[in-house]
Amino acid sequence: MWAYIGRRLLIFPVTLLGLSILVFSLSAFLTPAERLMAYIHSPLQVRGPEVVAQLIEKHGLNDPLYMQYGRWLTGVLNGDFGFSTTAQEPVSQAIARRLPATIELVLLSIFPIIFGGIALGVISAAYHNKPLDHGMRLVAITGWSMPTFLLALLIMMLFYGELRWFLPQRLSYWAKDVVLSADFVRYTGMNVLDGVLNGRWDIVGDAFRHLMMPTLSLVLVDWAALCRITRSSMLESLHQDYVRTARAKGQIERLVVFRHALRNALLPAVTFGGMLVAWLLAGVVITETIFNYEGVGSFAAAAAQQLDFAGILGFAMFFGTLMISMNLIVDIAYAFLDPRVRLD
Amino acid sequence: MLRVLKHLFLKNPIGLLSGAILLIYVLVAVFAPWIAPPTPHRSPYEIPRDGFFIAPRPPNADHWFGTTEGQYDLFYGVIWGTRTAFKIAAVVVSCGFLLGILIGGISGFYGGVIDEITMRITDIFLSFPFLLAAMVLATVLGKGLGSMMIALVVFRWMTYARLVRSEVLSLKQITFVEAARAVGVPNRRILIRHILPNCVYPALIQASMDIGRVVMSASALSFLGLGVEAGYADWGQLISLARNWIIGGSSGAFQYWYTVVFPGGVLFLFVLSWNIMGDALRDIFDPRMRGVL
Repeated sequence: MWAYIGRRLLIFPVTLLGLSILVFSLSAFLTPAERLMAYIHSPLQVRGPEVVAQLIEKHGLNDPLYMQYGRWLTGVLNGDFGFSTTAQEPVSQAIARRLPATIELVLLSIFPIIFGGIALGVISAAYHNKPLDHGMRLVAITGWSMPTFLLALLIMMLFYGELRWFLPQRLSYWAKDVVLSADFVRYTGMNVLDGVLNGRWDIVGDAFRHLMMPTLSLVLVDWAALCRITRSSMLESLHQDYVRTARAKGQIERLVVFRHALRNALLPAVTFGGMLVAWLLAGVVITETIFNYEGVGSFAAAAAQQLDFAGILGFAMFFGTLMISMNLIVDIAYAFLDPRVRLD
Repeated sequence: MLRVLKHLFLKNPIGLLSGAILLIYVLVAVFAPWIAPPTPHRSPYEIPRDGFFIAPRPPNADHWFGTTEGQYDLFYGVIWGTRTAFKIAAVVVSCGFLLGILIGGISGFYGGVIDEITMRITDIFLSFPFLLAAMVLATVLGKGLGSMMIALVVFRWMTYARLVRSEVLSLKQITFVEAARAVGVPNRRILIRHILPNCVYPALIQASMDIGRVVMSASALSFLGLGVEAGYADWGQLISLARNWIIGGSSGAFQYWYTVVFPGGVLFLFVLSWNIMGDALRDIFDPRMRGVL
């Protein structure tokens, strides 16, 4: 097993290097002037074409690509992703400032998704080919076919437009004033947690009211996906010999499902961890944008819309690294859980 | 072929329904010039506008589905958007499919260092969520249908490559390949004539399941303003025009329902039908998985 883990760990930096090459080669599609934007902090710096030419020369944007790549990589390793014109601050700072909002949203969504999705999949598989199963399959494929942005718009229409239960953005104006005031300590940047730590339950309530719509759209779409995967994995393990043995020896059906089948069905479910993060990241870009929720996702969408190349490439680098690390963790966890992997 | 059709439709009422729905979409796409005649001397994909008033207008005799923000005709946009959807699906899925077969085939067949390198590259491409990767590339390439399709293809070949590679790995050991090698058939010919034709089925099933996903992602890109140009007939673009009107106006939250319900419903039904179809196809070709998803 240690050889396997060692090999994975050795490949990790190589994959990261590959990622950086991929992201950098994306910027090779841009003209030097467009790439210059990553170095410009204010429009006042660019006065006339001569200045642009000078600046391009100064930052070496006409140099051979490998030299530019070396410089860019050095910057990235030092946490310098360039200057984001959308956020009007360095990219790393912009991401760091918005990250707590996105983490808050992801944390609130991920537990309902995992437990709800797995529970639905198990129920569906346990009632295989019964009406309940058919009904749930239909609901799952409907949810799986529902574009996140469409679902989010419909949620907005119903819960904000019609019912006024939930609100877009992160906080109401009065709550924003409280949060930004001097006697409210920002421990984590997450509104719910900070509200609890400061003992301001009105802030906690307000933050929840704003979090509900994006959470709901993420949860509903990913439920469907996870339910489908769990169901198929569950059915596969319900057809195994050891399950038949358990049934043959007169084991109660509930225990057969939960103790014998589910445990083994959840093994591949560990790999969902990586997939789930991928889904959530993609979902976050859409939902944050629609609900004007100021997180990393809406920053990425805004950067893309406003052709803020430094912002979008920094985002790609940041989340690519996150995904690759996540996959490494999943692979290693798998080696601990599944003896077959170790023997490879 | 007959067996496939029988399983697909006669034994599967939902499959039959989704097939019928897809047939309607095909007919709409084919007969678009008759259903919604384009303005002469204009690109047919340009949605006609009835004035420049901002607020959408409800369905009426002139505009069966109403008009959306900026007076774009929703009926026309939905009809010609069907063509756009098929165009995107055909180009992106077939290009991604071919690219994947090529890369996966070479990787599995030659093995060794080539395999290791291509698979690591595949891993790197897979390390982005599909939509985000396409979003980043579409930003860099600029607006337009073409660059959006390129962006989607670049990040859509990896699943096919992996499927084909694993098939090739198992086919390499099979007797007819050994026989071909024994009589001195060159490598390239073995790969193209003997191995690839036998390993495309899993990739084909994957392709049918991808069509819905690809159209959905393309719409999401257009929705974010990274897809087609303004005014181009595309469902995602029409839905994005509904964004400012989604919470309604003076006569309630659902005042502008038609701006989202028509393009959204058409997109949803398209994706749903393809997904059901993909599931049904997979059940037929992979009996082991029958009824599993």
